[in-house]
This record gives sequence, C-alpha cells and structure tokens, in this order.
Amino acid sequence: MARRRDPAELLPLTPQMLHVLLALSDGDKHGYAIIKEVSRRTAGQVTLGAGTLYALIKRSLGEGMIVESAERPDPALDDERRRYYRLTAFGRNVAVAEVNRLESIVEQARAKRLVGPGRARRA
Amino acid sequence: MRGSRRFRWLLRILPADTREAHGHELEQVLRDSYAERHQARHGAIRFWLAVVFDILRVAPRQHAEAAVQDVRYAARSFRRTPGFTLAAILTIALGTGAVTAIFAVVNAVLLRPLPYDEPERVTLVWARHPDGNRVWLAPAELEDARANVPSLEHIVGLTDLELALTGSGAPEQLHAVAASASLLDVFGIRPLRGRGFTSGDDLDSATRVAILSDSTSGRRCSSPSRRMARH
Repeated sequence: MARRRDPAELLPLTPQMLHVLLALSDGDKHGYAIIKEVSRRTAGQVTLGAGTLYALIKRSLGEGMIVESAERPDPALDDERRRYYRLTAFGRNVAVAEVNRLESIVEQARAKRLVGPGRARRA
Repeated sequence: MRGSRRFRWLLRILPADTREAHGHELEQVLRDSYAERHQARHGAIRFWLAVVFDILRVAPRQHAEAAVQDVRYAARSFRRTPGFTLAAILTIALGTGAVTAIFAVVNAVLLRPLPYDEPERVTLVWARHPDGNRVWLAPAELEDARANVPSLEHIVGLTDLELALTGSGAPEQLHAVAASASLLDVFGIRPLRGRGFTSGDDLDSATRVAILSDSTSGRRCSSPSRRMARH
C-alpha cells in the first residue's frame, strides 16, 4: 500500500506553482486556460510563460498534485489536441498547506504591526 | 506554418522527455499566445522575446532534473541487476580504452604532422643485404650519393652509439646518434641553446661535437650557460 504523503514535504511552493494549483482548484483546465486564468486573477502581475507552465505541470504530475483529466468538454468547443489537468486531493492539500503557511507569516507580520489596519502601506 | 516551425525549433532546447510528454501542448499554447498578442503594437517582437527568455530560463533546470532522473534510474538498475551493470560498465571501459589506444596510434602515425619542416620531403634509405636484411649505407655509399644524386638537397648519415658521459657527477651511459653535420638542416631545427653542427664538424680532423637532449642537459648541467658551453 502506498505511503500517505505529507503535503508539508513539498512546501514551500513557488508562487507560480501555487497559482497553477489555485487555477485548477475550481475545475479542470488546459495549459493556455491556466495561463489566462492566472494572468486575469493577478491583473497581469503574474504571467506564466509556456516553458515555465509545462515545467510546473511536469513537476505537479510527478508529485501527484495534478492528473490528466479524462473528461473533456463538448468536442464542438474543444480542440482535441489539448490536454486538461485536474487537481488531486493531495494537490489540494498541498495548496491548502501552502496558503496556511503564508497566512501564518501574514499573521506574524500583523502581530509585529508590520502590516494591518492603521499602518500606512509603503509603495 | 512558419511560426510552428520556429516553435518546434525553439522547443528543441528543452530535454527530449519534456518535448515528448508536452511538446504538442507547448506548441499549441505558443500558437494561442501568439495569435492573441502578435497584432498589438510590437506584439510579435515582445512575444518572441518573452518566449525565448522563458524557454532559456527553464531549460537548464529541466536538463538538470532529467540528468538526476537518469542517474537515479541507473542507480536503481545497478541495485537490481549488479552483475549485468558491472558487465556493461566493464564492456564500456574496455571499449573506450581500446578506441583510445587505437586513436593514439592512428593520431601519432597518420594524423599528427611530424614535428619538423616539410616532412614529406624527408625519407629514410637503407641498403638491402643479400640475406634480405636491411642495413645502413656505408659512409662511402653516402659520399657516392652526395656526388651523384644532385636532386637530394641533403644526405645525412646516422648511426646509433652507446657513449659514456663523464665529467661532473657520476659517469652515465647514454644512447646517442652520430650524424652528419647537415642533420639539423634536414629537419629545419635549431638547438635551444648554443650552436648547431657546421660543415667543418664533418672533417676527420675536427673536434667531436655533441648536442645534448633537453632532459640530459637538464640532468647533467646546473645552469643554462654551462649547458651551452658543453660541446
């Protein structure tokens, strides 16, 4: 029986990796859709190049964070050469663990009054 | 489509396993990105700059990861079938050694130019004894050749000698070559220090002159100036 992996083993994730997992958290997507989703959600602050994206996809597949999805949208709306990717339960746990880790850092920064209400944001 | 060819050419920078697994998708994504961006002002240039930079940034790590995977796979194979792996390593080692040895000989004999001027004009001549063995020419035969074969620029006689070097330090047995004075002219070389042979050195009445090899000179003479003086 395969050993249950601890999501913490893969932390910290790179920001790009977290964005890819987030992009897949609400449904299966193909590569270009992931790039568009990340760019839209971050208002263009994070742009994934094709090479970077597929390096992340390759690693995510290898670590079991995502799988290739067998389900495909309506063929009329789809190019059959595209592959769709789905977040696995383990991948979701890794993303949650990374978000919790980042949240903990933000809380520490708030406790030290580095950020938070009443603090002027420095440009 | 020209763009597709360029994409495929660019993707060759990535390791083969990445291309096999995701090459078509990468191409598709690049085509989609290009279609969206190339009509903007300077869109095509900015697109290609971004793509080339991205691929060049990602490729080294991908290659490194592929190399690590190969090493891991090799280590696992070694653990599973050590006998076969050792036999393969031994075969490769012997093959490499044999090829290296053969190349060393071919390089020295056939490929590497001889270390003197116009080697194609130099030839070694023997006489053939009635019993079939090759023998050196006699001094008189050399003189005949000098007198009767004007097309030869130089004719040099050579013979092996065993000499004892005495003087400072312990006497030493040396392997030497006795040669006519034009030996250095034939090969177009000059001694590093001192003088070469002159035609006067060929006369029977001349003082015998020697040129020491660099190793003998370094071993027997303490200073370059003394090495020069020892003729």
